[in-house]
Amino acid sequence: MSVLQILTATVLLLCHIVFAETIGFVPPQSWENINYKRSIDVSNSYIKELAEITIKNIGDKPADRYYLSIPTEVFNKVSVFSASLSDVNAYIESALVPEIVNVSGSLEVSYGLIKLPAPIQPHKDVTITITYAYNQGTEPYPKHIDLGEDQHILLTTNSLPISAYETKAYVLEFTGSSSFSELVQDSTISGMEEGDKYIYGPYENIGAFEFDEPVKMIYRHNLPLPRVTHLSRSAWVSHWASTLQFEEYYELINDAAALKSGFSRATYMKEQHALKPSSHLVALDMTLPPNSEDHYFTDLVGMVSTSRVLGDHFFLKPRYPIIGSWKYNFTIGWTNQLSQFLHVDNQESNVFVLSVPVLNGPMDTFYDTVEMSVFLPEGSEILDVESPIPIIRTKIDNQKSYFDLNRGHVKVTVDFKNAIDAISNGELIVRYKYTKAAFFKKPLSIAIYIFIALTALFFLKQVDLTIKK
Amino acid sequence: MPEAKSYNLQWLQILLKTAIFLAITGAAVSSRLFSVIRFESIIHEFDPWFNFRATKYLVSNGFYKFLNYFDDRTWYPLGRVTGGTLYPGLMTTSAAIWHALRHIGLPIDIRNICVLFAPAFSGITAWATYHFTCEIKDSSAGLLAAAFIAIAPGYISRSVAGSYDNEAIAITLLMVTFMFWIKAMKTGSIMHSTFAALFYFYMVSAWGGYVFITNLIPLHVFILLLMGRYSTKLYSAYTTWYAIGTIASMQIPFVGFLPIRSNDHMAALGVFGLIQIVALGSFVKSQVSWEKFKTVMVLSLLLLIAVGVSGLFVLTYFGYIAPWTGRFYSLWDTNYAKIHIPIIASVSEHQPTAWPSFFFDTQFLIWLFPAGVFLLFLELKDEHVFVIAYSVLCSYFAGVMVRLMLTLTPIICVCAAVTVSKLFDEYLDFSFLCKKGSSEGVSLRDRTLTFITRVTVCGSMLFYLYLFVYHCTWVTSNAYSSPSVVLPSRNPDGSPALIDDFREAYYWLRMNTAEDAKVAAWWDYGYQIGGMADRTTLVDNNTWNNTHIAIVGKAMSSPQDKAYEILKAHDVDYVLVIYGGLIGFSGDDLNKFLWMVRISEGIWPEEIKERDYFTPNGEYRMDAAASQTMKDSLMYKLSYYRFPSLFNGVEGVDRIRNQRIRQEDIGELDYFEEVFTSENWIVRLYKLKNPDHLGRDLRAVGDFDRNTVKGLKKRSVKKPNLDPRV
Repeated sequence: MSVLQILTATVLLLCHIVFAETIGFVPPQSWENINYKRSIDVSNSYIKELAEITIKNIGDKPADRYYLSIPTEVFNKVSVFSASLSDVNAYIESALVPEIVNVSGSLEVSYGLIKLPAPIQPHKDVTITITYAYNQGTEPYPKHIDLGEDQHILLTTNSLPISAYETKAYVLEFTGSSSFSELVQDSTISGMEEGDKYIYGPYENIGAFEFDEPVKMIYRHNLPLPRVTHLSRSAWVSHWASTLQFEEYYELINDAAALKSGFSRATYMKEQHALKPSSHLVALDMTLPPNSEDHYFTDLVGMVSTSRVLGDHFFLKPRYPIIGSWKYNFTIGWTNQLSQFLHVDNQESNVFVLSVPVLNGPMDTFYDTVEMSVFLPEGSEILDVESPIPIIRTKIDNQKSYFDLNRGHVKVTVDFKNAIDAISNGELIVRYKYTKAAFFKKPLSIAIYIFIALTALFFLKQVDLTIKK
Repeated sequence: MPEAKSYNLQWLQILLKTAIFLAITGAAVSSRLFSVIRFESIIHEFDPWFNFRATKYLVSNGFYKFLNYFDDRTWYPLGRVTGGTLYPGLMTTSAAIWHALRHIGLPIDIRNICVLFAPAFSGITAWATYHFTCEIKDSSAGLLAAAFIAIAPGYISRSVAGSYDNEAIAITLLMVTFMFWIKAMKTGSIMHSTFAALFYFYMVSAWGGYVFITNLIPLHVFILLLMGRYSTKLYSAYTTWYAIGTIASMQIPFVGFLPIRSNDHMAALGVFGLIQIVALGSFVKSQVSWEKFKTVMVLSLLLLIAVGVSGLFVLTYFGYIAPWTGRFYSLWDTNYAKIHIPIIASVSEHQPTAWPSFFFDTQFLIWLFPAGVFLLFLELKDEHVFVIAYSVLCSYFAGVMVRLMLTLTPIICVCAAVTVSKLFDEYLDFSFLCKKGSSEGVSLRDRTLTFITRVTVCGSMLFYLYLFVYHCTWVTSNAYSSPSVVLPSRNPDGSPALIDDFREAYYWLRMNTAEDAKVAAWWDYGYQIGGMADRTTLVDNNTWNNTHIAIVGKAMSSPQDKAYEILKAHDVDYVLVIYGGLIGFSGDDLNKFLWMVRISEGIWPEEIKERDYFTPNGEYRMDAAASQTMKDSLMYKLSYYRFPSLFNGVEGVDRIRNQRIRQEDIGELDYFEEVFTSENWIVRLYKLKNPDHLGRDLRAVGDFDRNTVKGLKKRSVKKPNLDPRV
């Protein structure tokens, strides 16, 4: 057993112990929620939640770590998690911590950790705003509708904050739909409509980890619910052509209500459902980086001829309208100038910084898993990879492509999960070294191979096989 | 083209030849790319989809697994021993190319290799035809023949990009084998005949049409023997070819012991025996006097014929030799298939050839072809006998079956090239103009006249050649470059658009049905469903089981309740029909329906009767006048279901049959549920409804539901009457 192995084993053991101790992790009771306002925005295909909390340090020491509890089911599907101070318009450090506390039965809670920029003195308060989006707890209601019928969604969410701290005042409000109603009318908790909002509360003096029946809210949402179950996105860097080629493979499903009976094309044509906004998905609008060229749209059986490029928008019309519960897999690709994404490092020679947008997909879409690969030219060396969203896994290996006669393209793969369209502004940054020698090695090795082949042919031609003499 | 004496001229000749070959290959490949440029890099039609699927299997699972490939996704529930019932030559070749290209740094997608396979091999065909014709006449005829075969539509029809079929490689191998055979036969070289045998083996591994070579080479030898042209060269060439070729061909699993058991192969064996006897005879002849030899010969010949023929009969009778197959009979009697095996007759490419298609496929070559054969008759060397035998046999076969036009095309090109080059040899010779000194006796008038005739002949021939190229390009572009999976069309504003209904529906199936769903469709679409939709099918284009096909035919021709029973018994989940009545697509299932009826009538003559599907006047109609059996049939209902509702709900106009389809004839569909119809209604998919929970039959359920709806309507009509009282 080498030293390294022993070390690894020790670390693993330690990890295990630490993990074992933190099951049922309860944060130190140093805070109190003076005012907790939770607004849920249902206008998208996913749920956007905004928590505006005024917190007060009730401990006797200054504290800077606040734990926001999120039900574990939701926690597993949370996409962007960010926090800011309400009076200062700046993001503050925040992260999701995979620790679980069992509140009761199957109700488990995990935490989002917010680290305040400066510790708060005892008996002082501060207001923080936390936003996060997730794709959990919604389902079409009813699950089956007729073609053209309005779609309603049933959202199940925790009624109380289940906070790890005591809460003095709490309000829950829903926004983003033209009609809200409760599934269970005579519940212990009920809210009321106020303008275009639906409000529960205010409730007062809620204990730590106190919970009640979940809220079951039905709202009208006559839009498709596109969800990309898997996106495999790759960007190919070519220094010779000075281009960046993108290729994306989407596995898409529409989570909207399924049809009651089979799809009737006659009804679809007669009532012109293709032109009406409804829960089925007729076309996709991809926003590409500016000045893209050579677009293509294919799927597993070949080219799809119904696509159009207008400016930076790439409109795709799938082979068939994607009705609720239907799936569609496809591949798109395009090419951009490399100079749009590549910067030369000023300090070091032969070092480049590539910043590639994380997503270019359609609006209003949730992504379960994203696998993004950047292919760097043969012979380059990766120095650093940085990502705006948490990476599950980073892998560096080689893949052979056209005329890769040596080790092949250097491939960096990063995996994300739970992404939404809003993060498409984020950029994956790859710093790499690519020397001039490597740059010229490629055409040279091709030339050498061709030369060897021709010489071999020439010598083979000299061989005389005739036996007549 | 005679070999030049001077070294520099030789180089020039090589350079020119290379340039010409490059140009020919360029023309051959580029004229086959119309479909890729116009549509996309896509596999065409039906059979290529199977070959493509098998190739993908080979590439991902390796050769040994491929040989043992049992496909449980076709012919449900029987499955197909695919590895043992296909000709693996095509797939192994493209897999080899795929691997080779990967090794030299070109990881090309297997689909692109399959699509561009046929064009690439057409270049090799041109090369082989060149060498073949060189042996027949000379290299100038060879170059012409190569140019002809490169662009002749008769060959292009089966080798455009995307037409990934056995024929794509088979014609190349056919020409290479024949080239080596001619060389071997002329020189007696064992090396050449071994090559001929090896390429014959390759051909056996690639196409069922190898039987053509198996019979043509022995026929050639037999004719030569009859003509008294036996030679030791012929002996060594034929025996080498036969021994190696036969043993090699038996290595293909699908062929196995056929070469010694099937009647198709007996001619080769017979000639092999015969040539031994002739060899012995000629040895005896060189030893004894002529009179003695004569008696020996007559006696032994009679004995041999008697033993041979009776042996063949006895062996066939006891089943040691397989009798002739149906496809073989239909080669001799064009009506045989129609009566006995409707499944063969139902394929359009098995129909007899219409005469204009000879002209369409070969243009001016068709009338140069007899002239070429005649010119060869005049010389009648041993190799010319081969060309003549080939021409005569293939002309007949091409007349019987459209698809055999393909095997005729190479020899047409060769013969026409012989004619044209002969003509050019005579008429393109303008050297008399320069030879002032030696042509004392020829007057100026004669010389002028000769000049004018030669210019006219050459000019008109060049014009024909130009016209030929024009025609070939036109035919290729207009007739043979459609993938048939995608149909070209136009948008209302005139811009080009594609009708992509097949892929739309197949892709829907692939994405939105259970992975093990079984789809019942007519066998034409079996390979496409397997290849594009990746779903299990009941029957496909490998029509090996007539009964199974008849089951689908019976389901389609039966009333819905009966059809439901048949299909449920075969675990079917979805039924797919092709309907062209909305946009005028003529190759739809209703137009093929009579074949379904006929094939199932062949198995269940007392249940399905073709006559019942016609009107009393014997017309094949779909409108109000259609027979009740027709209106009740599942095919009718599935094709027209909800169709009139697109019009006024009462009557719809079927554009392909120009008939008015009434809603009341279509009636209700209680056993099936429409799950998908493509944009232009070409593909319609139905799901078999689940059996009722309460054990009622599905018609009763449908009636109950309709009555409930009626009841509701009545009630809702009553309501307004109550309103005024409030």
